[in-house]
Amino acid sequence: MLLVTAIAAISYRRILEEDSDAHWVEHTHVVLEAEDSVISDLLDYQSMQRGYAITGEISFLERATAARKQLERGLSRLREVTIDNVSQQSALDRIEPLVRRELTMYDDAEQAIRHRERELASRAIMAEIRRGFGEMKATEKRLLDERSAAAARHDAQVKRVIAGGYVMFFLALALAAAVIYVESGKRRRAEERILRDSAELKAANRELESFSYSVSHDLRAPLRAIDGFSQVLAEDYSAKLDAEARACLQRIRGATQRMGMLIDDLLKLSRVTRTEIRREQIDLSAMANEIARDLRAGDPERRAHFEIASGLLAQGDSHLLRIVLQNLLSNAWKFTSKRAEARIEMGLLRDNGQSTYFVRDNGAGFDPAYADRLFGAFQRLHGVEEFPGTGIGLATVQRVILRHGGKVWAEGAVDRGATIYFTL
Amino acid sequence: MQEKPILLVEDNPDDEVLTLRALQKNNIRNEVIIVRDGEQALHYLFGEGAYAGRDVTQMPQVVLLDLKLPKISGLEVLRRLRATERTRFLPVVILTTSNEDQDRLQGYSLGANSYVRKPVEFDRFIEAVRQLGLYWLILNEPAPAPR
Repeated sequence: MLLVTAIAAISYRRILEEDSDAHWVEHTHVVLEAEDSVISDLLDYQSMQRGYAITGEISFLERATAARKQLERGLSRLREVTIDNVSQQSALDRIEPLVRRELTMYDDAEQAIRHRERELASRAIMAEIRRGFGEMKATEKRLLDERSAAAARHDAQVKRVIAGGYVMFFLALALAAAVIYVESGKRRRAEERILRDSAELKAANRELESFSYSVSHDLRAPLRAIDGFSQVLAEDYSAKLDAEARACLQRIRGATQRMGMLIDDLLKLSRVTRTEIRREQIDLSAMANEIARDLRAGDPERRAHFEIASGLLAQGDSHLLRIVLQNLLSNAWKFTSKRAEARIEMGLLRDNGQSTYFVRDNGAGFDPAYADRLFGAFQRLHGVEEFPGTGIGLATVQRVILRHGGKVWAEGAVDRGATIYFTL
Repeated sequence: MQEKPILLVEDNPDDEVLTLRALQKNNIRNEVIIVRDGEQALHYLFGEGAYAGRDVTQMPQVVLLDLKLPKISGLEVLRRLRATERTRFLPVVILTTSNEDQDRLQGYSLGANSYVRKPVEFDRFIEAVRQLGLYWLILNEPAPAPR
């Protein structure tokens, strides 16, 4: 663009300069014409004076006066148009007295009788005048030539600049085209890469599917065998086993079952990642109440108080959000199990149009220093003996929340309960 | 009336022993025919291969079918049974470790009569086999045999 603008500017300036060159050519012609007219007026004047001297007719004298006036105007015009040129002015300084002398030679009609002598003297002066004007003409012509040459040079220069400008302009266009070509190539390659990546991602997902399948199927089979045959030993050979052997078998079976739970929870976690999210309007309050009812039914002896705010609506995947509430409320239920009276609360905070849901309990809480570790898979802040679990629940919660585009975080203190917040 | 056998399609010898033990623990005295892959299962049921000449009007009371099997998968066995007139209504219980939605969906789509996931805990497995035996060997009335 800059280049195009520059070419336009140079072209425009050249048009202005052409005007100025034309002005100088015209100026030269004005000078030459003025010189010619001075000569012809002088000749007219001489002829008219001569005619008057011969005929005595007054009309010749009038015409001589007119020619003289015109001659005076021609001289002053000549001075005006050469005012910018010192050498032409000095040439004029020499010529003008000659013209005046020539004029005076005819002023006196009385002298007409001495016609012959005057004629000779006049011829010499006229020759001198013509020579002076000839010099001036030559100077003007030389100036005109110089100016024309300069104009031509100027012209050529500008033509070169314009031609060069266009060449550069087309080079720039070609360059732009090349850049566009290269960039579109890059873009095409990037698109191809994205397609390839997405194909790889699909392949990776399929691999994950088959991995999960193997975990689900193949990893559990040996566990079943360990558990089953431990029990065969315990049942069929109990007479031959002492108390310690039976306790060992019991530990083997306990560990097997924990391993089974771990595999199940890992599968749930991976399923959360693989499941496609289907958003719909969900009544979180109703969902939480159902889960609370099930928890109570599982341990009717416990004194626990659920306080679930009513009308908690959310947009999300009902299956996945049920997993979230199941995990959060089960955790609250589990970590308040040592409280004489458990309090579990679920509600909503509104801040600047952002809805933040929370589940709060008055249970064992946690050390805030480890708050960020709560959501990592297999991260446990309590011993298995104290509170059972696999350490995958909150990781699953976080994954569901992240897949909904939300955030999840925790607040709490040791023995002061915990609050899990989440947005959707 | 002579009790019909149970066809157990199971490739894992550990599971085979434990399944037999669970049946025995529940006093299920039916003969148990064991085949170790999908191909063998089809051979037995259609009287082909190693089972050529078998009286194919004698069908098992129930087929306990694993899904992940050598040669021909459990789902493929099920598909072929349902496509064959003689075995169209044969009770098939899928007995597997997989709890994948996909497997359950396909199992039922292909006409499985039940889908039971083998629990890790042996006690629970024994209980599952007890209930299966009660239902499929005693309560359930099979479809009339095709002529």
